[in-house]
Amino acid sequence: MKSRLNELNHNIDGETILLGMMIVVSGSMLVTADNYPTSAARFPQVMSTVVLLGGSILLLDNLFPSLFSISSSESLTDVSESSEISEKLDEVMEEPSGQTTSVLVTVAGLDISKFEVTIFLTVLYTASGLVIGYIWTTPFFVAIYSKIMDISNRHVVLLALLSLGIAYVFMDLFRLPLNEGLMTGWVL
Amino acid sequence: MISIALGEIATSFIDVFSWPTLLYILAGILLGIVLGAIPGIGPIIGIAVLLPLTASLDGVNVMIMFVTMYLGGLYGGSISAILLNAPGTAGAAATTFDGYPMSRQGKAKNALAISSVSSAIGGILSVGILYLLVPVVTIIVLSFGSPEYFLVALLGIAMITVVAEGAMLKGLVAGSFGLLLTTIGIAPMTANFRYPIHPLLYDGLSFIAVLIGLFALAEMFKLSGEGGSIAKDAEEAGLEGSIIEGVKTVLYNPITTLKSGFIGMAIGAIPGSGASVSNFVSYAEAMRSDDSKSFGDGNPRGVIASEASNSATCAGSLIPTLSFGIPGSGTTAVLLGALLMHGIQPGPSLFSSDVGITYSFLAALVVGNLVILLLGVSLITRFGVITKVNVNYIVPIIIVVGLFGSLALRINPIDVVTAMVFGILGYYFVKYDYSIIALVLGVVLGPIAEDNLYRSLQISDGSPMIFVSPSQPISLAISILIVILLLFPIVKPMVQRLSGWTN
Repeated sequence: MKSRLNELNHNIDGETILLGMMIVVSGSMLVTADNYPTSAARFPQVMSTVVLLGGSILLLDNLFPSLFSISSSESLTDVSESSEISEKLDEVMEEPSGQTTSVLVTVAGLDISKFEVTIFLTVLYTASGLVIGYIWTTPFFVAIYSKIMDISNRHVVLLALLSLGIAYVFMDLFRLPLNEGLMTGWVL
Repeated sequence: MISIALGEIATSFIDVFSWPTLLYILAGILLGIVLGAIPGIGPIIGIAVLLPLTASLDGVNVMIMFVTMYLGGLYGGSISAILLNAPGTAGAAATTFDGYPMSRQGKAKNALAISSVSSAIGGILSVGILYLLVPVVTIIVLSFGSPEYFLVALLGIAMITVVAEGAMLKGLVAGSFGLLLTTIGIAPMTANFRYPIHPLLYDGLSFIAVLIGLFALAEMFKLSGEGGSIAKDAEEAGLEGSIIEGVKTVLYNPITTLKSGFIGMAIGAIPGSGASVSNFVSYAEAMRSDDSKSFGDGNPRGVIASEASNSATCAGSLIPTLSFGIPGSGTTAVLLGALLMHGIQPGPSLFSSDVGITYSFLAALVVGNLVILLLGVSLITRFGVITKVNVNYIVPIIIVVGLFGSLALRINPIDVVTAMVFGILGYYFVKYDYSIIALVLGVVLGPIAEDNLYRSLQISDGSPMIFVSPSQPISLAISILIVILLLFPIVKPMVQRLSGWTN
């Protein structure tokens, strides 16, 4: 029992949250679909049942991999070559591709992954733009992002001006109310 | 019949050479090459971001631009693969194996010329085959009704879940989740507002915002996590060598070029397996049929195989996209969204009354391949600079343009939130090997699938037997195929185990 709990603790990760979210969403959609006429409820009921069942199996596999073993490599795309060709392909594919997974930036003395910084800034930018208007927040978002990513001050200013220009083009050409937000009358 | 088809083909060529269609082709190819040459960007992001901005433009011309952008991106990916050992797109991954060693040997110009010539030949060959296939596809498509279209939508998701890398169950859950999300908003047959989380969701989720989130924003989040310039660790090779020698190399290897083009075309037509699969299969086939042990050390046939196949994939992937509305790859999933946004319905009309549109796409691909040939051979030395762009400059601008683009179509604030949420969701889908194409396909095909399910059940008085009835042989065949596809990965290991015991 204790070992199962240890396994559970050890295996909770981002995928657990992703599956949990899909299960909760599909479960609530399955229950709510009961309120609609049969013809409107049938499709969401079938789909939410598939997500609920499939997601639950995947969640159990994610949390207790020693109990469940769902093959993750079954694929029809397996190319059946001779072993010699497979070996040679493996050999050439081992060459470094130049892709890097560098992740950290230092913000206020803290090492944070660039991905987290980007997500945080984008969420903040999306929310603040909806509140006060994107025309005001866009240059700040671009400038702060660029500065954190160690771009030179001159280029930071140029990028911020470019983003402001883009915002104006969208506002003028596509009639987007980017100068408005919830505070200035936009209704959400 | 043949004379009518030839007349339509001739008209399509006249159309694509007319103004402003030719401009759309040139713009598409150039944008595709630039986006494809920047490692990690690719044409899919460009199409997703530009999509909502083209709403007021002529649909056919816009689609021609997007199709040629896809083609240009497939070629552009080879530039950074050859010069920096960092493929611009997944379809050019196998090009690095011999393209980069050729650059290191002072044959960068040879490799780039090989890439453009073999891309053009492979691409034109596949379009030629597609012209021959159109009458066959027409007969199949015209025999389809509502039950068949519903089942084909399911078949598409089933094929993608099986063919895509990763677990089948993950793909099935992803595709079903996409289908489920399309049920938010007004129901197509009863006018009930389903899942009224917010009044702004009355018309449902914008699939354009979903596409922008999944392809543009998610990719930017991923790129930002990978650091500044993607290719910064790659050692840059000089631009030496001979363009003429490169062109001759392709002409002296017609079998490799034609065979790879054919492989690319065939694999492109299988939903879920685009250029990222075809370039490896062609490369493996080139290795198998060649005694040379120099593959991986700068063998020009390696570059020919990879490049001829990935360009041919473009035309191949149009077959399921235009005929049944099943995309062959991530880029064609976005192309499908673009078709629907511009009111061009994939299916029978594109092969009967509107066959001229289909022929226009094919003619644009022929012209696009010729442009690639001309640009590739004449401007090769200018392209190197594109690969040096630092992605930190691109990420915030694409995020901004993507969010504005998601807003542009309906001017509904909920679309910005949708794009951002799906951007984060897409990042985690990719991270944990859930098929993003299955999710997109679910979102794009959801309304079509539900509508056809509803119509089918109306025809059969509510009986689901219409999908497996012997009186509907096509439906029955597709249903059996779906079951086989879904059971194959489960049954295959069992059969292997059983045969192991008997042996």
